[in-house]
Amino acid sequence: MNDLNQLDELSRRRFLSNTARTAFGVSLGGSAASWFNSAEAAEAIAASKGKAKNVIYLYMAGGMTHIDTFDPKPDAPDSIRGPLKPISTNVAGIQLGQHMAETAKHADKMTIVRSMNSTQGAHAQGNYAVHTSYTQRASITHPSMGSWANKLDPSRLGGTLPAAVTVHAGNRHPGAGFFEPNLAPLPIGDAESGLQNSKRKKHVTEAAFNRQLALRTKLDSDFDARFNKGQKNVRAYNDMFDSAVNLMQSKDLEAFDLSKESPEALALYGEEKFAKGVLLARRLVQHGVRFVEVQYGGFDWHSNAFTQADEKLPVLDRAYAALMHDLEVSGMLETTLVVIATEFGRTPKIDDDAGRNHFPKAFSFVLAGAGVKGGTVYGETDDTASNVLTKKTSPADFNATIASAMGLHYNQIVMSPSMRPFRMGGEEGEPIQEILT
Amino acid sequence: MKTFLSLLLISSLQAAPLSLEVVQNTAREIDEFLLLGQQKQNIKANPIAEDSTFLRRSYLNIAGRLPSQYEAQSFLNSDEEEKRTHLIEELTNGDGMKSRLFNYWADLLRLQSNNEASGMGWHVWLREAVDQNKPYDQMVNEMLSADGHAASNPAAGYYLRDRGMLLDNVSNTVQVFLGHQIGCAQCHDHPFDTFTQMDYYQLAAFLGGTEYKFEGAQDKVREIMMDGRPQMHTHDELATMDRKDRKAALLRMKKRLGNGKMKQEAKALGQVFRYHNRNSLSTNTSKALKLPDDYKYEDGEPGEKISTRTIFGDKLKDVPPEKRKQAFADWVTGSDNPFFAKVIANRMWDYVFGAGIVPELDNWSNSPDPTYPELMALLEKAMVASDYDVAQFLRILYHTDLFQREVATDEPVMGQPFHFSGPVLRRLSAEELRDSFITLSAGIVDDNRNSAFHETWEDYSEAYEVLMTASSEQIREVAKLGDEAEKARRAAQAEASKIRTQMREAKEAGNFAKVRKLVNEAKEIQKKVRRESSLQGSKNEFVQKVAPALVRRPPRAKQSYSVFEMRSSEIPSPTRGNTLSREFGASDRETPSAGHTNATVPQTLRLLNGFETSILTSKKSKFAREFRDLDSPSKRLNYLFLSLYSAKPTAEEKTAFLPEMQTDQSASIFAQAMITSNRFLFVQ
Repeated sequence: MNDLNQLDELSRRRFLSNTARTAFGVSLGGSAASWFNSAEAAEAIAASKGKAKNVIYLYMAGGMTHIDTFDPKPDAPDSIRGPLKPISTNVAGIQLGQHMAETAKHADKMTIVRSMNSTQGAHAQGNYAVHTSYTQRASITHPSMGSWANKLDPSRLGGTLPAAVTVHAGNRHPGAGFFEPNLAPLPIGDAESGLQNSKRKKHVTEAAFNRQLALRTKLDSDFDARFNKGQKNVRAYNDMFDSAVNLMQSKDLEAFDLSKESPEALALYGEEKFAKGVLLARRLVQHGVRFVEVQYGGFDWHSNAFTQADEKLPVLDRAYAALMHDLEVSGMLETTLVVIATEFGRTPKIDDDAGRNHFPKAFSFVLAGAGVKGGTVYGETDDTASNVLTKKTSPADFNATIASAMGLHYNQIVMSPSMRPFRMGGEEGEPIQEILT
Repeated sequence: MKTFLSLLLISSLQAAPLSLEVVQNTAREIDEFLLLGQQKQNIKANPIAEDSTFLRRSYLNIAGRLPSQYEAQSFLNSDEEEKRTHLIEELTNGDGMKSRLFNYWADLLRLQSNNEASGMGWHVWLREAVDQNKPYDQMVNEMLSADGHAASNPAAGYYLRDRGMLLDNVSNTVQVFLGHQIGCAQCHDHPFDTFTQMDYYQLAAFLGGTEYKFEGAQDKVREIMMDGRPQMHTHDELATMDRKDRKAALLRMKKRLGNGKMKQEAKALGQVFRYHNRNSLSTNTSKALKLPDDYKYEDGEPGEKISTRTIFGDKLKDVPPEKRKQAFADWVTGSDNPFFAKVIANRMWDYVFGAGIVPELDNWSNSPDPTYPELMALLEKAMVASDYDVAQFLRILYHTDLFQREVATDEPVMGQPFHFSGPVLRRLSAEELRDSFITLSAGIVDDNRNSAFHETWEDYSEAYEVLMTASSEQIREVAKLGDEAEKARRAAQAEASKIRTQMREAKEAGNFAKVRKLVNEAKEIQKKVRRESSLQGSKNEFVQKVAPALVRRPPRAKQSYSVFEMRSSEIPSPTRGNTLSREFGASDRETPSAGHTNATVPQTLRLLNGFETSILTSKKSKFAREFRDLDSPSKRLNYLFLSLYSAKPTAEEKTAFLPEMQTDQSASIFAQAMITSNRFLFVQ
């Protein structure tokens, strides 16, 4: 979000590097390669060349059904297939669920990973594993993907805008985890109200505001003379103050303002809160934000699954298709990776309450745009979408794939403050080479 | 070496507040040890800070908030010689001290009180422990030995917090109470320390019998199922039969249970207790911890059962299964443990002065050596001598000269010891900042206790008691009504979903009259969903009584005061991510001591343009009202300086800033500038 705690960062790194040197005889920082020396990593990154400069990560909270969306089974019995009929897409041989009609027009740009498999069948744990590549523990919080990107490649920090943003994400988002707070995504609670507190209060004129800034400097002159030099947190607060004021006056702030969008654009995405979030993500990426996650809640369909499908899926379908269209027309799709993820799938067998329950054994994720192939299905489940038959993919593998598409070292080791080693791709995640371009 | 005269006095006087004389003598001893250590290393102690610095520091460090304008004024105007001593005495006796200390424990222990019922109970329990000044060793021992349902033993919240993550809980226990990070050894021998994976498992084996389930529910369901069914037998009954009879009895039972109707009944009854597994733990004495499947060292086989052995000091081992948990609790908190007293003494030093004598509070074996080992030893002795009376221990530290010195101009650097020429300059903690704003807008609210929260918990525990002693008939009734309520809720939810779909379609079609109509319908149906999903409104009197114990978390409708009239300690935690305290780094309560004071852009934006600015202008704010009523510029400037900086303006400041007081508008701009200034945000 600028070089806020760069000093903090430096001293921590110096500390880590000293400890590491004595412990391992290696050093951190520039020569990261010496930490892992992995030929595969180099290969994966060379393969993708980091085509995805930006990521828009759409997260369906609650566990999105796979069989009704991205892994339909036309020949499955009614008790499994349910009332929603599969439809064809613009790629021969790829079908989607009935509600995904607009999305189907973009299948040529999508890689559907139908062989997702996780060991986490509860919401919090599943959500955590997908966001961090690690199992949730009570002794550490692992960083989420946007923060990993900031850590492994800090080049996008330092502008007026943050490098990572979450939109409509809940309180439990792992954020920066054990990384420094300045690597955390900036949370936006409501896409329509934009960045909180970024505008002057109505009764405060510009002159009054400037007066206020001048008075602050004056009030702090003794304090700063005494402490600014020796205390990095005092410097950090001064830097942060300048950044905040710059941001308020910056044109970049428009990135958060949906009212700058044309009525046509607004109509294209849809009226729902999620749709506004997706549109905001597009705006933010356009303005240089690297990693934007938008969450859409309410996919936990234990009963009346198909009533809820009627409610939710058209919203996702429309907003996603609008985003794909928008990015393609503007050429941004060449540098932007769009992801659809969720914590797990739903049981193929429909229960007595017309519900589908948690199902981590098999589910689907979608990748599209920069760094990945289009018109592809990766992996396959059996006739009832109950078991992964080929190319089983874990959330950590999937995250390693995103990292590789972004040109990041998915298996570069970063030590936590408790001196334990962690990687963006988790303990064992490996990128899916065959879908990277 | 000095004799610990004052320390001997402490132990003879324990259990009541110490006399001021003993406290001051001990404080003096601590100062002497520190000065001696500093002389050896050529560190010069800072001069004693001026009154206003001392005042501000005392209120924030002891009571966790800024002094009010009146409190500041009365201290600064007093010419009493002992006024500093008296202030410390007053504050260490006050509610503010308890509030701040509670926040500290809550952050250290990762208290989550708005998730599960057991978290709520744990919160209430911990708050009472602080209120009663429960000795620290006892408090920790009660948590570590806790077993059973949280409703009858809320200290079990400590284990239930980490339900299903026992090994992590053990790592945290060792880190938090014993200052060592053994987490690495969970998966392999510790690379920077001497702990092996075997050490780790042997220690965790003390908790190897832990099961996160509520045996009471199983018993109860079994009891009801057997009611009027003579062919069913309890475990105990089965145990007394000879082998042949038992076999025959089990076969009969299996036949009966195979009957679908009975299975369904058992399931429905189980639903009544479904949330209680989350709130209870039990110890299975025949269960032992096993080595992981990928164990790769020569001293054990993968999957092998592991016996107990502690990791420091005199190694306690091979404890009988039924005594494991208590033995573990006693080992952690016992006088033979080489780290228990030291670690808390060092934490409390950090609590008061902003850094530990051993800099790495959580990682003693990887911390640089303490600069002042004699002082550390003295503090450890004082902690033990006070019988782990943390409040008295803190009171001693607040009475030191060190607490009165000007802040150090340098800052603690990670990996290096700090020299304590004075306390550490620090930003107000998130809770201190929030509670200071609350005090500005609502006045002093230190004794506004959220007793409603405590009552909600008591209702839950009572309902639990009633439920557990209910007759079979009553439970069957609850099960039936619960089942119906669940069906009704689902139907209402489906209806709500349909309405939302229609609403979207109407919006897309531009039919706004229909949208408006549907908005109202949606509201109604939402109410219906809420109504249906709770048995609280049931007409059945018994169901009403047990309703609080039938839900995952008791609803928290009641609150004794508005959140703007209560200290942070009174509010269930963690609060949402967009609150002032979370934005300023209050812990998310996921990992120990996760609270931080790092700068971020949203913090500054919030101070510049956010909700809290209304404290300076809104009629609802005591601060703004009082300020408006002042009739002269000099009174106004005085008021602002006293309220926000805990100081009177100097002559130069008066010259520079009096003109700003001329109009309401310019004065308000000035006040805004003050709350964004570092002088406000930091405590010297």
